[in-house]
Amino acid sequence: MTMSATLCAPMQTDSDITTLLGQWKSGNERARDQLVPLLYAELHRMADRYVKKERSSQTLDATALVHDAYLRLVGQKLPDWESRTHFFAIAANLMRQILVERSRRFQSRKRGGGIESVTFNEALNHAPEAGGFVLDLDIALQALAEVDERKSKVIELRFFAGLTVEEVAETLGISVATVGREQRMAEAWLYREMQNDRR
Amino acid sequence: MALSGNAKRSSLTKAQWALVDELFDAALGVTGDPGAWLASACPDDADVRAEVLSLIQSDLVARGGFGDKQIGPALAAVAGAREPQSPSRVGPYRIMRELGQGGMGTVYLAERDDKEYKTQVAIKLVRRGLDTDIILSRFYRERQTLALLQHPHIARLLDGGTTPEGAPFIVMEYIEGSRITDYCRDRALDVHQRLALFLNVCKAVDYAHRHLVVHRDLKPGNIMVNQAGEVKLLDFGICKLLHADAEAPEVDETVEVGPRPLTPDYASPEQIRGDPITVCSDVYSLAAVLYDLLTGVKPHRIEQFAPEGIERAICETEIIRPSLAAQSKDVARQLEGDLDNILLYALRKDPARRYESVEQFSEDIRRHLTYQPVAARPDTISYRAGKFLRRRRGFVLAATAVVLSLSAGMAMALRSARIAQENLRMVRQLSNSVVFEVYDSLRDISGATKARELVVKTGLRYLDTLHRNASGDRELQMELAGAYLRIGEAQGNVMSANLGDTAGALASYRKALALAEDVLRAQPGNADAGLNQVALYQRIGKIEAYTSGAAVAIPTLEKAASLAEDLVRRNPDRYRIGQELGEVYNALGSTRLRANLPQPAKEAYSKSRTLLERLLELSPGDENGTDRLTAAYSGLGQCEAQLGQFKEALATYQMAVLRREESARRHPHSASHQRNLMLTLSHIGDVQGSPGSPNLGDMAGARATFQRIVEIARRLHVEDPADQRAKSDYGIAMLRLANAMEERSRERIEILDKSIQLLGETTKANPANRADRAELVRALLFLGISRNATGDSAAALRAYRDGMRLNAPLLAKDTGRSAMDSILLTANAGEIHAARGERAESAALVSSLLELAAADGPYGKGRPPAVQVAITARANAHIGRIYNTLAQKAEARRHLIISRDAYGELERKGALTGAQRKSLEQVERLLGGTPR
Repeated sequence: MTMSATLCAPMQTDSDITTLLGQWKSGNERARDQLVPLLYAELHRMADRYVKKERSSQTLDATALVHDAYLRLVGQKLPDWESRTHFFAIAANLMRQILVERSRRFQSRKRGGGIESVTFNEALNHAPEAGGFVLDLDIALQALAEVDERKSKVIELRFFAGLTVEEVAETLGISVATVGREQRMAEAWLYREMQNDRR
Repeated sequence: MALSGNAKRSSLTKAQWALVDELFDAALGVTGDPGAWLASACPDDADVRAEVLSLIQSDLVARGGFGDKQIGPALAAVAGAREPQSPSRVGPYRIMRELGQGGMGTVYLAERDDKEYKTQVAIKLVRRGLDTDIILSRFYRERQTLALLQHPHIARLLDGGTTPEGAPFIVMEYIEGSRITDYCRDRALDVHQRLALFLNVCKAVDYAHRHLVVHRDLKPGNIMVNQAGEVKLLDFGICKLLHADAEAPEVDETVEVGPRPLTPDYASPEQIRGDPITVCSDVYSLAAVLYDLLTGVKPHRIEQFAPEGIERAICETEIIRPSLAAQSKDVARQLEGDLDNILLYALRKDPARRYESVEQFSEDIRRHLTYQPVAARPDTISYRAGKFLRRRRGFVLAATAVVLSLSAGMAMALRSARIAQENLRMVRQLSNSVVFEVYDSLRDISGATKARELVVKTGLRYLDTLHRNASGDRELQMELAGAYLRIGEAQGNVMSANLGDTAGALASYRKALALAEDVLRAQPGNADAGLNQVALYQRIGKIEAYTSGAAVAIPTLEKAASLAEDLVRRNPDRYRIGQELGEVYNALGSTRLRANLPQPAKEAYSKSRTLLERLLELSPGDENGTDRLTAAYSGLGQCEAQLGQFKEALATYQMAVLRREESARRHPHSASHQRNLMLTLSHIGDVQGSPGSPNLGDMAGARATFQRIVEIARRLHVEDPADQRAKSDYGIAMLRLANAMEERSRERIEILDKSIQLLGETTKANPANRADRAELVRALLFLGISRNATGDSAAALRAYRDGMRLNAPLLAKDTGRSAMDSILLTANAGEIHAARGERAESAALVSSLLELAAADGPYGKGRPPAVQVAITARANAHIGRIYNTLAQKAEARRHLIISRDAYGELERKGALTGAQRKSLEQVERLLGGTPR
């Protein structure tokens, strides 16, 4: 498989990926070959989004992350995603898993980090503290999912996949306004949840 | 009584949750009290209401940036961080496993790989890429001090070094245990037991303070308790080492450099603001930890996770009484009263109002435990309002901590009056290296004026004490001389942003000179003492030039020059001595120039340039040498301009400007570099088109140049409004710009008004500063001219009279410049009165003019002949004009002829300035001839 110039190309249209997916599901191996670079590009774009938001992002390196995600993605025997937006949902979940594992590796302390340690533009220097935060966030998200699954998915898509509000709306089949409302309440809920776990 | 704190999550049914969802959304739009609105919107279900309220509360905080500022960056950090590679060996230690990650690097458990003994240690490997060179140099310098911290409650620093890859590491005693907060929670210790444990922590911190080390990052994470219940403090002094200081070269101006506390929860207000850290900062942090230990919550309630929110929470928001914050009634009862007061006393926002030391803090706690009355009192209302000016976050300098902790330590040591000789020596050495390191790093950074004042005050107190005990001790005397010299610089050196205390500076310099000459008498060959002597004469001369005038300063500087030339002859290989001679030549050139002696000044500057160019070839990286050479260029250019050699002057200036711009780029936060650039640019502006001196006549070019200078000056002033030098530079810059503008322009008047305001403030703050006063006078003169030109003669007269009044003290020690200013003011005022036909007033002013101009008059002494001629010419030109306006033709003619003759004499000796030429043309016209 070669990484084609599509890595730098703008967003792939939904029809390309969806079509190829359909073909792949019907047993067309070649479709998979065409699909992979497109998916890789999507993953890269997702990772870039939340990495680049940081001022100091030049020194951050999302490549390893993307590589991980990509390997897992294409490692799946048969994709059960129907469309590009479905792919997003899966990818978001995948990113979440990867980040949680990384966070565990960074954490050698017996207790979690909690909110106390992260101040925003020093995140670069404090990956271990950030790791603690991510682990706590993961737990909190799971708790949220038990109460309200859609809200948990909104958070996952917005932050772990770095999707825009429109993309999230498309993925979940809700309106853009609803995405905003869900996100706001979810953040309030998560914040409270994580505060209670401090210490 | 056990303290725990986990809230129970309420469980709602699906229907209830849906309702919560709806109500939350609606409640966000409610303008009044949500509680009241909810009561009516959902009267039946208390659980739902509670949940919605709770979420709204949470939203209030989270909306500030939980998502974007916490979740996003945390994910990004984890996503982007490189996987750490575990080394297997570090020096003679074998790595066993990773213990954890700290802010600055990874900590490993290691074993010393020795057949003899296997000790377990903790090794902290510093992450590369954090200005490691600076860290290393600091570290090596400070290692002695830190290794001396031997205390049962402090994790010992055992060793340190660098791996072959260049990563520095620190070897520490390995502590196995848990954080103090967890320890207390797990064992459910009661208030008394927690206090007892805490007192041990205080003992350790106090010990360190006595050894002049401030922790600066006290928090539960750094306070461990082992299985045996022993307290162990971590990371002592290391925090101070591992942060880059503000001298890092390529610093993005928008990024704040300096040790920001990693967790704001225990940081003191001064740390957050970037002010100097003292022992009281440790007191604060300790108190914050105790607060947490006793109440179960942290003292700072951070509303918003942005820097402004954090700053507000810590620097302004009042801390809730511990007894109110406590988790259980039982604990609250125990905290009420004494412990409340003690904690709040230590947690005061103003460091000066807290306990002065950890010892005082722990003493009060002990008093409480033994049922004695405590010293802490509740705060008064006015202070509770937390009236703290929000200071701009300046640059925190690591070493400042040691200086100011030095003052606390010194105060303690001196008060006890039993100083062992060894202690004195050690303290002296320490202070000499550290005090001036701090001062040096503070010297060039705009915004650090208050901190400098503190260093000076502390330093002087300390030095004076030592001075009293210094006779006979040559080594101490030499050090003291050097120290007084540096302090003198801090007080009033005119080249850096100063505090305006020239009298104080002179006093310090003279003390230093006496000490140095004392040593020289005993050891005539001592080149260092000789160098000190030269340096001091040079500095004294510079100040005298500012305060007493050239007549006093030039002999001092010439003495410095001859001493320096002698010293150079006897020590031809000493680079430093050559540089000092260059400095003296520059000072001599500058003073001569200001005394209107451009040719002798040019000689001095030429000598300086030749010498410094040669020296710079030997040592091209020398910043100070480059600065000095640039100053020589600049001075030389001015001389050339005064001598009418304009093209040469411009070329010379361009060379100076290039160097200055380069220097300014390399030191973006250095006020003195910016000031030098401004000075050099102003010379260019003057040569291009400043009416006050001979120029090329390029007014547009001059305006552009001066506008550039104004911009630089404005920035420096805004960065540190307390800095008198910056304020006067700004005022003077605007004055120069105004001078290059059209007389009648509205803009010129506005700029002059502002300039006058600023210079008025600086002259009031430092009345001894002649230069600023002279500029203010000139500003008033220009204002008067402009006002008159725009038809407001009343305002013009006011300006002239103000100018005359302010100029009076300057006339006393004048070489002619101030006299000329007075003449112009008086003459212009006289012309206005004459135009109005007011004979009496005009006559009075004419008498004044005559008195001012007279060579044998009260102001004529000390005037060089050339200046006298110019004054005669100008004064009489104006007198002639006045009489002419009053229709007293005979008188007018008499004076005009005197003026013409004087101008003629001037012309024979050299070129006339633009202003002089204009004046002569007027004279010619009035005499009825055709202008030449």
